[in-house]
Amino acid sequence: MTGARLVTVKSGLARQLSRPGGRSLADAERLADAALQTHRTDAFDELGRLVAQLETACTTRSPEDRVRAYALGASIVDLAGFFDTGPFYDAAYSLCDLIDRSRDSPLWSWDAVQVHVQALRLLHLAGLGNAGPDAAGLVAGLRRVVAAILD
Amino acid sequence: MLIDDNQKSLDMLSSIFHGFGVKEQIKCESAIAATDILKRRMVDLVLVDCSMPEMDGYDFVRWLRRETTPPLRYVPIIMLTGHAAQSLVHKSRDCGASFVVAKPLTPAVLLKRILWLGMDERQFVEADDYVGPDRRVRNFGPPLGQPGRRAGDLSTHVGAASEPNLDQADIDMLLKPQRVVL
Repeated sequence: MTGARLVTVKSGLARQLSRPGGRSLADAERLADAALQTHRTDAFDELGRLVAQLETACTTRSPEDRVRAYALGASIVDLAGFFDTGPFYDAAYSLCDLIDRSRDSPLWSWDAVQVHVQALRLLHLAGLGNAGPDAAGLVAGLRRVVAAILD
Repeated sequence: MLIDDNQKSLDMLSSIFHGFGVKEQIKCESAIAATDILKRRMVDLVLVDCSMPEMDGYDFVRWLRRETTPPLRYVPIIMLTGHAAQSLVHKSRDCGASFVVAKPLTPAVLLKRILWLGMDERQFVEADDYVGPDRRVRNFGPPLGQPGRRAGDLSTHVGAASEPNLDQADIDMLLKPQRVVL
C-alpha cells in the first residue's frame, strides 16, 4: 500500500455556519420550498418537451437515438427529481435503467423503450404527482418489462 | 458555486439557495467555466451535477481535488446525481466528492446534507489513487480478527491483565444505588 497523508481541515462552510445570525432552519426550508415551487409550471412544460423528443426518437429508431434516448431520460430524471413527481420520476428512472443496461447488447428493445415513453406521456398528462392509484401499477408493469428483458 | 449544464436545473438550485439565505452565488453552466473561476477565487461550497458534456461532474471533482492547491482543494463538494449509470458507480465513489446526493431532491434533504458537511470532521486523505474526505464515515474499528489499517487502530489482542481484578464487593458498590445528600 502506498503512503496516504491525512489532513485535518476546518472548512469555510463550517466557519460560515457557526457564525451567529442568519435564518432559522425552519424558515430556510420553508422559503426554499416556496422558491422552488415557482419553477413548477416551467419544469412541467419542459418535461413535456423532453417526452416529446423521446417520442420522436422512438419513431426514427436510429442507432444514435439510443444514446439520445438515454440522455433525454437522464434529463427527465434530473428535472423531475426536484419535485415530488412520484410515479413519473420512477418511470423515467426505469427507462434510464433499461437503456443503460441494454444499449450495447443484443437485448436492446425499442418496443420496451416505447412502452416507457408511452407511460411517461400518460403520467405527464395526468399531472405530476397526481397520477392516481393506477400509476403505481403502471410503474410496477414497467419494472416487469425491464426484468423480462434484462434478467 | 452551482454547476449544472441544464439552465432550468441551475435556476432551481439557485432559487433553493436563495431560500436558504445564500446571497452570493456563482452559477456555471459548465464544469470548464467553473475551473476558470476557481483558478481565480475561493468558494465555500460547490454543488455540481454529475452528468455534463465535455467535463462531467466526476472529472471536475477529480481536477479540484488533485490539481488545485489548499485550501481550495479541501472545499466541500456535493455531487448531485439523477440516474446512476452502472459504469459510473466506481467513478463516483473514487472522485473525492464530500457527499453524493441522489435525486429526488428536496430543499429539506439538501439543507440537512449541507449542515452535516458543516459539522463534518472527517480528515482528508491524499493518496496516489484517491484524494478526498475519508470515506470511512464511521470508525467502528477494524473487522473482527483482522489487523486495522489505520495508524491509530488498537490491537485486537487483549493481553493479560496488568492490575488485579475487582472483587465482587467493589463491583456491588459500583452498581448499588446511593442516596445523594446535597
